[in-house]
Amino acid sequence: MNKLFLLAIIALLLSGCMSMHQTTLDGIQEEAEAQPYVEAYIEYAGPLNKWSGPSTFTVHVLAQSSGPAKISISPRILRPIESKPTMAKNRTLASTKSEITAEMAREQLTHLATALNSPEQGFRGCMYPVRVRLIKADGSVLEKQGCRGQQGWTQAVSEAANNFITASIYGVRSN
Amino acid sequence: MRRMRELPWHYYLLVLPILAIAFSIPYLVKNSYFSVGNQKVVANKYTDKTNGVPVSEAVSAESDSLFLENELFREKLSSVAYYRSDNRCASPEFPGSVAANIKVSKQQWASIMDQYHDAKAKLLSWLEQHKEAIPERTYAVMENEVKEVRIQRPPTKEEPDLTWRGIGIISRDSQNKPLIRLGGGFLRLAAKEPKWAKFELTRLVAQVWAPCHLADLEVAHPWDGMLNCLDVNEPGCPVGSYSESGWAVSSAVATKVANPGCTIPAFSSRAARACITNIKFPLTPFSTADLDPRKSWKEARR
Repeated sequence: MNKLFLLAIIALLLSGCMSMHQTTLDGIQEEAEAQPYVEAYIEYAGPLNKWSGPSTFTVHVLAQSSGPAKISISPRILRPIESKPTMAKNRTLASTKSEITAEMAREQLTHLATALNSPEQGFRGCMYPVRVRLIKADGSVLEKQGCRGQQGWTQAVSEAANNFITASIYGVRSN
Repeated sequence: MRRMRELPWHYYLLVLPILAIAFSIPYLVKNSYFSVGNQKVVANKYTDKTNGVPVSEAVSAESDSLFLENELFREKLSSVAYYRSDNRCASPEFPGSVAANIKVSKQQWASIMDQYHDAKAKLLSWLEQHKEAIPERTYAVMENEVKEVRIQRPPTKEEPDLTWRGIGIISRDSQNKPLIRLGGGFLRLAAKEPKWAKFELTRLVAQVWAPCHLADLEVAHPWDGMLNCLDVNEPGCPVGSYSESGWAVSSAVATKVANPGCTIPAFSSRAARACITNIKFPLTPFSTADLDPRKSWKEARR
């Protein structure tokens, strides 16, 4: 009887330990998932130079600190438009240009990460590769390669790239 | 002379500003605004660094409000000129703009459509010339694909980042038909480098003949001879693969039917030129040149 009682206690303790371990793992996982994406590379690779095709085009977003996000485009050909307050038709001061904040950029990157995890179409012999790398605050990386023009996440990437380029040139409208 | 000698030495320092003014006059003239009648002309305010086209010409090419005037996107995406000194082609690409700023006039689009229809007609004509050398089913599919290609004017909603780019892509529409989506900068390319724009447009159409694309349509592609000759060897088209052969085929065919006037670097060697001058198709008639013992000896050495 005593042995049975002891075994029951040991089993109870073990299950407690297991559940604690599980809770710890869940906690770590949740914490990892809660980490925001703070950096992104979107690359549209061009063909080899010998074919004189469109050049490789890269958008790099850095949203680590609390200030404005840093967006760089390679090759550097697009210059930011200077901020000028403009008068709207109703004679009030219209919206002016302001930089995209790191928080806004991180939100955009979260949407992008969700899209990257959606199911994808297969492709063969792609001529317009697209590669995305998203980096979380803890350093973990989500990377995906695909083909431009496919249905699914590549469209989301195109939209994100367009949003970031537009923001880097024109800034974000704030009233 | 005597009087000059009597002048104190620091009087000679006055010469310096006079010289500076004298040297700056040509610069001021070169960069000044001046009026011709009622028209204000910008003389060399900006010069196209890549090919030396004065901006007075560039402005006239862009006068139909393609872009907002406050945008200074005057540089090309590629840092090199269209023609290099050795006549090799570079890859000129003009950046586009935000979608709202890309306005295509009827005249501009009509000009692009002319180029596009001409490119299709030339490709079909070229294909017909090689009808005997290409397997019947492959020929039919290739002909149909070119006929099916459609073109979408910029800006494109499905690929919004393209509005910032200069060339375009070929993809598939919802009915799985080939569709060319042009970049926002293509109109400027067509205005400034019409020959290269025509070549790019032809190359985009010719991409429906890419080996992996034809494989997708379940026909054997006819390009093995040319690709081997150009040393572009790919292990088929497995799922998730990227292909260089599509660029090789489309560049070769576009060079033949819409020569850009410069040499694509991949075709600059004599051997590579020979590969695209006489493209070997699967049903190319047997030639006595193939019996040349020197040739077989060279091939054996390779």
